[in-house]
Parts: sequence; structure tokens; C-alpha cells
Amino acid sequence: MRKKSKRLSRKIKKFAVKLINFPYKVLINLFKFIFISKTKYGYSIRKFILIIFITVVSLGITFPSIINRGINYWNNKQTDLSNWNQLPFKQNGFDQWLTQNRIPEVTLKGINLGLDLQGGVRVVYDIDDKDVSENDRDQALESLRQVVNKRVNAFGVSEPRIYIESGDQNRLVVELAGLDNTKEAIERIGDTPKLEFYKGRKQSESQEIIDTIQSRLNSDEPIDNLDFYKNPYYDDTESPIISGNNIERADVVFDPNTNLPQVSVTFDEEGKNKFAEFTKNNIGEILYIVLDENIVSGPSINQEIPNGQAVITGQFTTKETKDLVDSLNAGALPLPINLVSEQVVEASLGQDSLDKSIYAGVVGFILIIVFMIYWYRILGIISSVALVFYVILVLGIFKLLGFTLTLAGITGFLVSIGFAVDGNILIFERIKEELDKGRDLNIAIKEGFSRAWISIRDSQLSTLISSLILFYLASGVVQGFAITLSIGVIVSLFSSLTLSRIMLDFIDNYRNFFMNKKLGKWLIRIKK
Amino acid sequence: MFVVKYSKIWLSIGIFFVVLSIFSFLRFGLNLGVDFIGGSVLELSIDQNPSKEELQDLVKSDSKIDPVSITKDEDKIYKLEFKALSQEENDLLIDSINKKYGGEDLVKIISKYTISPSIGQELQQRAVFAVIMVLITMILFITYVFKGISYPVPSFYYGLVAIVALFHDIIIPIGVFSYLSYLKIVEIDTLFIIALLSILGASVNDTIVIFDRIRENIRKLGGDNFEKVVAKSIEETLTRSINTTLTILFILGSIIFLGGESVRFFALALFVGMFFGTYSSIFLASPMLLYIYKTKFKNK
Repeated sequence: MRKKSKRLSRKIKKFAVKLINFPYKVLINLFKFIFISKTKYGYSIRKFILIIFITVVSLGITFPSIINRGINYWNNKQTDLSNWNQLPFKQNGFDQWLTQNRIPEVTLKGINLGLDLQGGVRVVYDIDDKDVSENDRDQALESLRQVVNKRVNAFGVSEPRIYIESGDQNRLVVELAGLDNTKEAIERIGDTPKLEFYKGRKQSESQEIIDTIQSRLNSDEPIDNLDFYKNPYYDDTESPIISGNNIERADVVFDPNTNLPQVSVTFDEEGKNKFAEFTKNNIGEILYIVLDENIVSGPSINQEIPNGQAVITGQFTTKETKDLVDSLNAGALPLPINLVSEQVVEASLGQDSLDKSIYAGVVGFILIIVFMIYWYRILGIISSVALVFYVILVLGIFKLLGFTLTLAGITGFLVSIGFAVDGNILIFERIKEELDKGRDLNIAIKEGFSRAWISIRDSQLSTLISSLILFYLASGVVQGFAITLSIGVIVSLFSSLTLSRIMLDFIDNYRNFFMNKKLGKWLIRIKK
Repeated sequence: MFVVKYSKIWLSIGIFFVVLSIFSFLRFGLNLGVDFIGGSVLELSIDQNPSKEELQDLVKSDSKIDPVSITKDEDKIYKLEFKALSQEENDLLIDSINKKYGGEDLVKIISKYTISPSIGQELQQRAVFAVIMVLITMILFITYVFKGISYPVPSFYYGLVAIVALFHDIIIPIGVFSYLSYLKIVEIDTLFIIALLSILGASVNDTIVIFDRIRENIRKLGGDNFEKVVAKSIEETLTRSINTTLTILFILGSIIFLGGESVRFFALALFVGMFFGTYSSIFLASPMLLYIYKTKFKNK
């Protein structure tokens, strides 16, 4: 009896295992079939298709207009088809699918261009963050960035670039494309409306201070320091009861009686509580409202104000009131900043430089291809094809990363093209050596790659290391160059090792032609 | 082979250029651009096309600011350089120019660039630091990568030789540009520093490839006949080194002749550096190695 049940349970287990593994097996086999299994032409065709796919995607990312054109064509077809609804014959399922499936346009923007290519304004400030503790620093810097962002948005610049440059001295960098003078930008950014609320001194105290100052000024003693001077109205050496930081919102309101503009201020939670407590404890005292160290108004406190609202009446014009409200709403700068550099670049200058550099790049590119084909013949063709893929891939990556391209960055990219070829050259020289020794083509290829790999690895690694150092030690423009170079090096590893390998393997299928036929032999050899 | 045979000649040529460059540097100094010393640069286009001197007089008399220099490269395009200007001085200056020469439409600001001396100072220090860091890292990198071979020449010397070659590679562009900046054709700015650092990276590249070959050949042929090994290695890598540099020079050359204004000299610096970099990798590094071998390690 037991034996039978054991056998049965075992069978059930086996079946269960198979069942569970089934989907995994399917996936693995599918994977093998696509990527690994061998066909008549070896693995290369499949890999090649994959590469082409990646490249087309890259192309699409870099130049979405091409894809958009295709999409528009498709979408227009749809409109045509939907007109068929009016026709008397029945719509079949496919037509319905067509009309219902419009593809949205690819809306990726063009590659971000740096200021030196687009033209615009760039302003740099030193940030005074020495009073902020280590822990709070990142927070403070980020909120500084956001406040400036808000202020700058009023310009309607399509893509303001505001970032913090860290180092011994943290800096705030603001780049506004399309503007042509720095004055307005500086005014907007640097405007720190400092709104503070102070408790007024007692009347007697104020009077005393005023008397002291008067007498000192009137006496004949030379005045060699201002020790005697104190603010008679409020103690400005202490921190204010509430400051601009606690203001959540400001609005322009009009006094119903006088029709004069006023600023209505709403405090945040913390401000509300502080204000409530202060007003509760200081009924009968004077509250001074101070804007940029000027007293704007000094109402007396008549009652507790628990709702966190205050109205500031002063001698403002409507425009002044509106400006103040705007500034208050944008927020006060959490950290003091100090202008250290400003730069204006005209758009056309940038465009001109860009055009010329692209032209130069293309010419150089063609020269390289011509040379490579001349010297390395069929291998030259392979490396040129790999180079084209390389360029497309790198541009696609730049696009994806949202990386901002500057003139220095473009130059770095162009230089990296030269480096990319280097990898191929190393491999080809090795292959040539092996062929000269009389080895068979496929062995020559294999040996070529394995021998060259070490050299390639070491040399590209050294370039990578020096660009990483460059990146960490430098700022702004220089970093752009380092990034382009690094990306270039990494992608070039891929292009020279993988791409070239695939193409060479493919060629290997025609081994007979290359090793034995005269034309083939000439093609595979290198000049000299 | 010919590289090894005429070692003395190659080394002399190398030393000659290095000495020439050092001399140029000491004699002409470096005309540091606004990036490094702070200052203001104002580029204007003035339709009326006054002469350089006329503009200079106007600036001095009306706004009382003394420009460091005014250059007029093309018709109607002027480049004024000052020590750092405050915002008010800037406005005053532009106002007076506008008044004299017609106002907003006829006077256009092409570019305006002000940088405070403090940033400039800092940039200088950073630049020097970066160069030193890269040099040190390279020597360590090479010593590490070649730690396999200690016979017949310890790996440290490979690093040392590479560093000397690197010095050669950056001193020459510095010398060249020192002279050019003396002629006021170009200013030393951040781009130049980038160029130097790239040259360092690239030259190490070349040198490593040759050393790599040497290492491989030592393994294959033994280290006893070091001269033969080195000669063979150079022979084998000659084509590759030249070709690689050639491709990079193609691109740089086309940028120099066809590229945008601001990157031209950047490309030139790279060009000079890469050219001499390859020269040093092929004709200097290995002969130096051989020299060390002969004096220190041969016939121990």
C-alpha cells in the first residue's frame, strides 16, 4: 500500500516541478534562440541586427524629426482611413485598428546646448554658507537654488540652468539662454527683500538713546567710533521676532477706507505661533516692521493675533507693493550671495562657432575614413562602419543624459573619435601580424583581439583615469569636456571590441575568398 | 633599428625643444587670460567704425577708466579689456560709448565677461594642482600595471621614464603658447589647461602601448638582450602609433583651419601636444629606458 502512494507522490512532485519551471524554460529557450544559438552564418547576424536596432533607436533619440516625419505619415494615413467611415461598405477589424491607433509624436527636445553655443547670460555668485552647519548645508543650498529658480522663472526663459558648484567655495551659477544683458538678471536674482518684525523699545528707553546720540553729536569731542550709536527704536543686534522666512504668502490688498495699497502677509505654522505668542505677550507695545533695514511701519499691538495674518501699511506705490509681494512670495534667499562673475554671449557668435566646428568635425571624420580605407583596406571599411555607429551611439547617449553640450564638450567628442579609431588600429595591426605568420583568418582574428585587448584596456583606462581626475578637480566647462571624453572612451571600447568583432566574424565566413583568391588577399592585407 | 641606433640624436632633439620651450616660458611668461587674473572683457561692434585710438581716448576721458588693452581685429569689432569693473563702471562706460557712437542700434555688445580676481586666483591653483595630480597618478598607474616585469629594469623606471616623457609633452606646448601669448595672439585660459591635461592622458596612452609590447617581448624572448627586445617592440608598434596619432591630427587639423574661433587655439595646443607626445613615446621613452638599462643594470 505504502509503496504505491510513494510512487504516486513522487510523480506528482515531478509534475509540479515541471509545471513551475515551464515558463522559465520557455523564456530561457527563447533567449537562447534569439541570442545564442548558431545559424548558418554563425552568431553574428543576430548580434548585428541587435546592434542595428540599438543604433536606430539612438538615431531616433538624437534626431527625432526623422521619426516624427514617419509618425506624421502614419497619422495622416489614419485620417484618410477614418474618412472611409462614410463609405457604404463595412469596416473590418484591421481598418478599425488603424484608425484608432495614432502614434503620438516623439517629443524629445533637441540636445541641450550650452551658453557658448546658444547665446545668453551667465552669472556666478559666491555663496556665504559658513554660518550653516554641515548637516543643514545641502538643504540650505538646495532651497537657495529653488528660490533663485522661482525668481528667474519670471523671465520666461525656456530652460534656465541654475546649479550649485561645490568646492572650497560653493557657488551659485545661473545660465539664462536668450537674454542679452545681465543687468535685469542680476537685479532679479540678487534682490533680497529682508522683511523683519522687531519688538519696539519702550518709549523711555528710546528717548534715552536719542538723547545720548544728540549730545554726543553736539559735543566737541571728536567722534572716532560709533560705539555710542544704538538703534533707538528696536534692538537690531538681536534676532527679529519673525523674519521673511516665516512668510508663507503675501498679497496686495487695498485698504477699504483709503484705497491705498497694502501688503497682506500670511505666516507659516511656525510664524503663526510665534506671532500669536508675541502679540499675546506684548499688548500695548510697538511692533516695528522693517524692510531692508528701513522701518516701514510701527503699529502698536492692540490684541493677540492668532491667525497668522498681518497687514503692512506703508508709503508704497502700487507698483512697489506688487514688487514687494512678488519678492516675498518668491521667498527670501536663505543664504547671502555675492556676485563674482557675469558673462554675456551673443547667440550668433555661438551659432557661428557651432556651425564651423561641426563642419570641421565632418571634414576630419571624412579624412579619417579615407585614410583608414586607404591603409587598412577592407579592415578600414569595417572600422569606418564601426566609427559611424560610434558617433550615433555617443550622440544618443548625450541626448538621453540630457547633457548640456558646450564648445569644449564638442571638441572633446571630436577628439574621442580619434581615440575610438585607436582601438581598431591596435586590433588590426595584431591581426596583420598573425596573418603574416601564416595563420588562418579566423585564428588570426581571435588572436588579434585577445592580444590587443590588454593594450586597449590599459591605454583607454589611463585616458579614463585622467579625465576622471579632470572631472573632480575642475568646474563647469572643463567638466563638460571630461564627461564627453569619458563617455567617448567607454563607447569606443564597445565599438572597437564588439562591433568590429561582429563584422570580422562575419567576414570570416568568406574565409576562402580572403585567404586564397587574389582580390581577397589584397583586401585583407594592410598597405606596406 | 633606426630608432635605437640614433638614440642620441632623438634625445638631443627632444632636449633641444624642451630647453627652447623653457627659455620661451621664462622669457615671455604666460599672458594669462581673464579666467585666471580676473578682469572684464567687453566685445563690441560699433557701426561707425572709429579707430582704435579714438575709442581709447573716449573711454579714458569720458568714463575715466583706463583699459588694459583695446584690440580691433576686424572692421567694427572691438575687444576691450579692463581690470575687473564694477557694475556702475560698466554702465558708465557703455553709456558713454552709446552716446558718442549712436546708441542702441549702432552699438552692439557681442559679449561681456567679468570675473573677479578671487575666482581667477583659485582657478590658477586648481589648474596647477590638476596637472600635478594627473602626473602623479600616471606614474603610479604605470608602475602598477607593469609591476610584472622587474627584469631587467624594475617597473618603477618605466613609470619614471613615462613621466619624463610627459614633462617633455607639456612643456613644449607651454613654450609655444608662451611665445604666442607674448605676441598677444592668444591668451592662456581654462581651455588651454584642458588641452594640457588631455595631452597628458593621450601621451600616456601611446607610451603604454609601447611598454606593453616590451613586456610581451621580454616574456617571449627573455630579458637578456634588452636592446634587441626594445628595438623589436618599437618596430612592431611603429605603424600603430603613427596611424593613431595621424587620425587624431586629422580631426585637430581640420578644427584648426575650419573650426570656430574660440576652439582654434585649443585645437592647436592639442595638436602640438599630441605631435610631440607621439614623438616622445616613440623616440624618447624607449631610448631613455635603454640608457637606464645600460648605465644601471647591464652587466650587473
